[in-house]
Amino acid sequence: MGLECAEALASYERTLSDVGEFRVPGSTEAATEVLGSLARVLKSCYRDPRADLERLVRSAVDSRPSSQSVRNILFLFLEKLHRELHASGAGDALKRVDDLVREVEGYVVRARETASELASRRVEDGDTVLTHSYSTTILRLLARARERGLRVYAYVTESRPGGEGKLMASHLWRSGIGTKLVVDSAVRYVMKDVDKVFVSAEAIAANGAVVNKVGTSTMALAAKEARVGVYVVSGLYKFGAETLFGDLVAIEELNKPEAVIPPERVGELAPYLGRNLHVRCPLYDITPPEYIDAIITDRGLIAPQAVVYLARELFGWPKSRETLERVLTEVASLWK
Amino acid sequence: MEVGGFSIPGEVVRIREDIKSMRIRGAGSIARHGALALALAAERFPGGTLEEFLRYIEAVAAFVRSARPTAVSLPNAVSYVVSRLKRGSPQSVEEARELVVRAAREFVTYSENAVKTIAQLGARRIERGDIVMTHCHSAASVAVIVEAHRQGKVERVFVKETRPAFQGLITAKELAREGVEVILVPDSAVRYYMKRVDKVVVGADAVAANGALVNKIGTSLVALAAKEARVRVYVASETYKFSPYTIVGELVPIEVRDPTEVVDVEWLSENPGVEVLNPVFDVTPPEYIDAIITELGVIPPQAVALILIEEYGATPVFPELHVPHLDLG
Repeated sequence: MGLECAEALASYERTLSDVGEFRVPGSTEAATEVLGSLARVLKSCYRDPRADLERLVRSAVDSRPSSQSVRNILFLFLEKLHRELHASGAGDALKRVDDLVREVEGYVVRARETASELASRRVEDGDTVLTHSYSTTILRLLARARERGLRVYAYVTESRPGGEGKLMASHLWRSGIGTKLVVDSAVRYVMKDVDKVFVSAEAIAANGAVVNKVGTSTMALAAKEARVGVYVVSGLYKFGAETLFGDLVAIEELNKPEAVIPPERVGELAPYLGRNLHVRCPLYDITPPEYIDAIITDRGLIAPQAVVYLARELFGWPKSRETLERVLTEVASLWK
Repeated sequence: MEVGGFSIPGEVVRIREDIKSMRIRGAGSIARHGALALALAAERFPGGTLEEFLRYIEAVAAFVRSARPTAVSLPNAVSYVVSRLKRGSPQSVEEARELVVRAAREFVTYSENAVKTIAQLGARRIERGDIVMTHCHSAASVAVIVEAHRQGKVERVFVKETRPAFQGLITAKELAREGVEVILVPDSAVRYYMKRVDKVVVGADAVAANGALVNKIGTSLVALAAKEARVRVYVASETYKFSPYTIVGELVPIEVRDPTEVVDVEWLSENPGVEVLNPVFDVTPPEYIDAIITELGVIPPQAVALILIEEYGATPVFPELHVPHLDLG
């Protein structure tokens, strides 16, 4: 039992670092992997003092602070667990952990499928779309359009830092979509050839602003200039309920030289690095709602400013609702 | 190498190769090397009649010009030398050789002085405490920023990495060496940081007759993001980067380079279905540019045509083109 718990905890730490350092680029995959890993800890470390639930969940949220998926998916799970603990106590709730994980994952998968399905209806035959970064939601929607017999072409930006646009391009052509990869700087150059921009989200704020991989806001600006429609496709589980209460969305920065400078070029800059030469590397940026034509969610296609009306069902606004922190504290105390 | 029945000297072939492969880069440097290539060719002329010398220089000129399609400074520099050879009406090979060598040296001096003048004029546009953003590497824009820094005006400079070839690293190094406070950022972060920027200074590969700027891919995005944030955009450019061809309606061709500059060969072979599109330049419309800083003064982009007509049309530096004298009154 003890050994199993240590293993589960170690694997949990590994998952968090994979998620935080973008080895799991998609935000939904990141969230479900964290959840799966947490469930394993719960099962393996019952009443084990090494597994402090509050600390575990907090470090998960902190591993990718800009991501609402991690936060919200853990929240939905803890809420369910809370109900179980109240209804039948810790021993029985433990047996239900896997079911609860499946319920949450089922919801996430359905939400993403529905959003992709609705968004795919926006694709017209012969469309050239432009996308940024890596997103399974966008892959699904273009594959669906393709399955319906539509001819679809895609431009993908390499999406530095990280460069996960290359992975996206690879997946796109494998699903039968004519794909062109360009550098991030070429966004305005190609925009005249583009019919629609589809991007995913890390988080959606209460005013409809979208947090996504850095470069998204530049892409949306160039699209607006060229009168190209910008669609954000996202399950409502990326809605940032905290922003309703005035919280700012945290933007992480990866301020290490390797994020920008190729290893063989570090040498020539070394004399200045850390002195009067610094590397700054934000991971996300914020696209204002006025540059977004619509957000396509599992509950339908809406104006970005209207997301809050759909999200209130999930998060209860304007009635004050349990926050992740409060549920977490209660669950943790019931769990002990 | 044989071109047009003449054997081209090895040094000239090498210069053209270096320009083509971007070992020689930057429009000013390309132009100076183009002029020097002609001087070298003149000195290496194996001997023959004056008539043969003139045809030989024409052949070398055409060969050098074709190194890169977008860099207008190269044909301008070549034409600068060739037109002075023709106008000089030489009577012997010796005289002709002298004319080419002198014109090439003259061009190099003109070009180097132009950058110094641009630095002085451009620095006047920077105000104390300014945060500057720049893209790619340009000797003229580095000179402007360094001069403004010496005058104590520059707070810090955001330098964009400039994929795929990372010319931003060269800019970062040159500015850091001068003691400028440099922040190196990925290209995708241009809008993220624009709010903190006071002025954008970029160079030019070519400027069209309508004032549109042809420069490293991504420049037009920087200008667009700057316009959105009401940040001023300055282009530092010698007037020999103004394209004489565009005034007679020609489009500036945008060079598309090899995919392996963006991804490695291994990735390409694993993903044969992905087309990697690698355009080198983009076009920034004149309405996104606040001023072009040239060695002849700080001008609005709309005045480019005027300079082309006044400076290069009245005394035809470009003899092969007949630029019409427009009645601008």
